[in-house]
Amino acid sequence: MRLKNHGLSIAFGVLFAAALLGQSLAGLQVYNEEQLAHGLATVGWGEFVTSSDFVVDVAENWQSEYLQFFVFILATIWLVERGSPESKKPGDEGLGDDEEQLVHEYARPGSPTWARVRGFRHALFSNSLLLVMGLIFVLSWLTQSLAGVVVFNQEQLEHGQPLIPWVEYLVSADFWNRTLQNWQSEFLAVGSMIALSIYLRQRGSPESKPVGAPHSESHIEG
Amino acid sequence: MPWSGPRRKPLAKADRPRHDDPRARRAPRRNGGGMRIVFTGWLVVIFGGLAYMLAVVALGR
Repeated sequence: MRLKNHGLSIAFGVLFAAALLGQSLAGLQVYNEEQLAHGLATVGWGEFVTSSDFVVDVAENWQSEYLQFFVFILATIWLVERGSPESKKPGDEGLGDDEEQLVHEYARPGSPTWARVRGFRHALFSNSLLLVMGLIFVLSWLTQSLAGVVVFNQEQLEHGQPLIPWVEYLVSADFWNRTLQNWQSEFLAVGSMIALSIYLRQRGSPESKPVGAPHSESHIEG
Repeated sequence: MPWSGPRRKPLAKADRPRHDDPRARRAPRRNGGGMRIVFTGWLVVIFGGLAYMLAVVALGR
């Protein structure tokens, strides 16, 4: 394995681990400040990272990120944006034919086996990216809701308020406040990337059109 | 005889293909190992993280 060939995944893996560690340390400080304000005992790092307080904050961000990619992958099949490198050309909407997708009789020597075959395996492989992103989104959103109700009920207990079951938490303002504050930022970021990349460029980045490409051209990599 | 472009200069000795080079006889490398490690590694991080978080919740922490 040549590390040079995998710089992107390694860099983002390191950034993820560092940010998660930082979140746990900052989150611990906030948690202990609140504990002291309520006259309760402080906790250590190990106890904090195995608490629903930490989990709900991690999971609510995970679900929104994976929802973003799920929606983006799905939307770019059927919707286009003229001039955006994130979009197919207007007129190319849809799933594409077998020839351009290199499947069945159009498969190349190096094509994956499941691209050649027909039936369930082919359908599964043809939609595998969307399915896995969707699965991660659903599982993280479920985790957010399960950890969220624990944290919510802890606060209810501290304030002498009645506890609520998970089903009731799913329609609570707390759950939707945590959810939608993340969704809005994801949709804003994706929308800006689509729109701003029509007229703006980054030389050398595959997320941009080539610097000299006409503004009206879509789906060209830089 | 129609003109078919300038005559190519013979290659210098150093630039000639070396048919006896053992590197040329080596089987082509399959560079899939690193890609599989990266792919599997990220799946482990994602689903491991989800399993960890669900376990914390299941334990009622």
